[in-house]
Amino acid sequence: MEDAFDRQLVAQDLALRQVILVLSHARARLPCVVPGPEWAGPASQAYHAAVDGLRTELAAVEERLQAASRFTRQALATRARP
Amino acid sequence: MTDELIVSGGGSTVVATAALLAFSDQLSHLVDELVDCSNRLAMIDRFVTPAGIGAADAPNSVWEAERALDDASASLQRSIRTAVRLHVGLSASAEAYGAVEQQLQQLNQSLAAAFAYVLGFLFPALAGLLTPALLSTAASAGLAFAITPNGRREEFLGVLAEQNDILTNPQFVTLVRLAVMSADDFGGGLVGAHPQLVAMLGDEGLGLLGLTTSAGLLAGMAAPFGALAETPVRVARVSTRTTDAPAATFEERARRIPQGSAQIRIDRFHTEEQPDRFEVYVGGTKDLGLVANKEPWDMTSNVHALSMGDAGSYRAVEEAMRAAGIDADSPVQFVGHSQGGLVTSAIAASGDFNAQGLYTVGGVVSQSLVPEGVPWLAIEHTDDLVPALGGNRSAPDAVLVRREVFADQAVPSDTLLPAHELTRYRETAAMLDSGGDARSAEVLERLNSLGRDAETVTTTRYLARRLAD
Repeated sequence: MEDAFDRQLVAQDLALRQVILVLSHARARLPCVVPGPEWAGPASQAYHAAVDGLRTELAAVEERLQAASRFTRQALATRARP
Repeated sequence: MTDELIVSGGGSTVVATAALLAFSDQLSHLVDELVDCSNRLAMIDRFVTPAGIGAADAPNSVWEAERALDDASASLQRSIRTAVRLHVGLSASAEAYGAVEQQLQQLNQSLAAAFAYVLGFLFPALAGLLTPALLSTAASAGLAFAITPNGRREEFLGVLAEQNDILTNPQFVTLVRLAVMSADDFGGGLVGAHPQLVAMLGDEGLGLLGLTTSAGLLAGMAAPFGALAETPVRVARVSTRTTDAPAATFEERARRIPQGSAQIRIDRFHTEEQPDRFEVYVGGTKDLGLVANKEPWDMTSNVHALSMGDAGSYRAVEEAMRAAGIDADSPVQFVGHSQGGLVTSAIAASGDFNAQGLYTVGGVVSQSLVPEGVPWLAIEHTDDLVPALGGNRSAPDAVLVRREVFADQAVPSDTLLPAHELTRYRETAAMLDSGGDARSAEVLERLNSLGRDAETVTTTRYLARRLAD
């Protein structure tokens, strides 16, 4: 029998999945292009390192959110057992 | 050919490649999205509270979910800070690039003005020494050209075209721009005016003397010899037909600029119960001769338009606009190539018409300022000599898009000024359409808004001819 707490868990899982979707799209849109030859050299390397860093950070956020979603569903499954 | 576009202006000091600006815009959008995600996570965190977990006797995995959620929130905050740093860094770089470029331009102009003044001051003595040799060389060359059969003249121009590398060199183009801006200083030196007075009145000071006065002086000096003398013009409608739709891109507009004998094209946008709106397209110079013949799109019109005088092509466009039914209140926007850019910017700046937008490619752009609030995008090739003849741009609100066409390939020798060809500008316009930045996109949106909802688009072409004075 689903109670108020279960409904809160379901809502949390749905909301988490929506955020994961938004973040995933945002990360995919992060461009990989080199802005232009005038940015060649150390400044360009630092810039690309920062973009790669941002991409990795966003991937880590997604991974933690997926874990949160997974644990939430696990909790729901546990509570559903008789 | 390089596909790098440098974008500047639009009331901003930022100068950067279109790709860079587009990325900066994307980063700004990303920051907004991440902040939104962060707000959502804060809200999600309130769905399940520790008190609720305790009361529900929830399994351990709920606590695991809470910890993962907290970790994600903290990581997201770091990502937001990284994205903000990147966005700010890119913007600052573009600002710094723009500031350095502006300072260099001012320094170059000041140095060129000083040099031109000294040259003008010394000119009488230099002329005395060099005139006999120069006159005899020029007379011999002129006589040889005059007695050469027409076919051979074409060959001669062909030989010149084969040597067009220097004319298509960006450094040479910059020198020409500086020389044009320094013509008033040369004149000041020639008449022996005090250098500080010349500097105060010239482009580097109050701007009372400059390209406009130099062009006017040139026209005045040439007139007694029958050169650069204006004549009346007559305009005739050549054709009228219905067009599918208004132009919607920069490339499409460049494609609609007339290249045949008719120099003017006017698109009329009609919607029931609304005043008609118009888009006027004006082509480039067709006759490079210094003596006015039948063609009003000639050097005479170029010089008179630059001096803000009574240019034949300017009058012809005004007449065509009146014939098309455009009055002082009709919403109208302008598109021009080369001399068409000069004429359209001058008409937009005149205040005689209800100018809604301006788009010029390779234009010898007028020094007069187009009214604030009129969106203006100009495309110029840095290896095109022609825009340099208009001197430095003095309209900071205009969005300027630059590209070096032959940066990484040999200059073709089929024409004298290949970087000035309308086909090359169409290529650049297409690049801008596919990868433009926010500033150019905003101008395009404003240009497109004029013809939006048009039920019919009627295109009329006009041919202008000079009449004997």
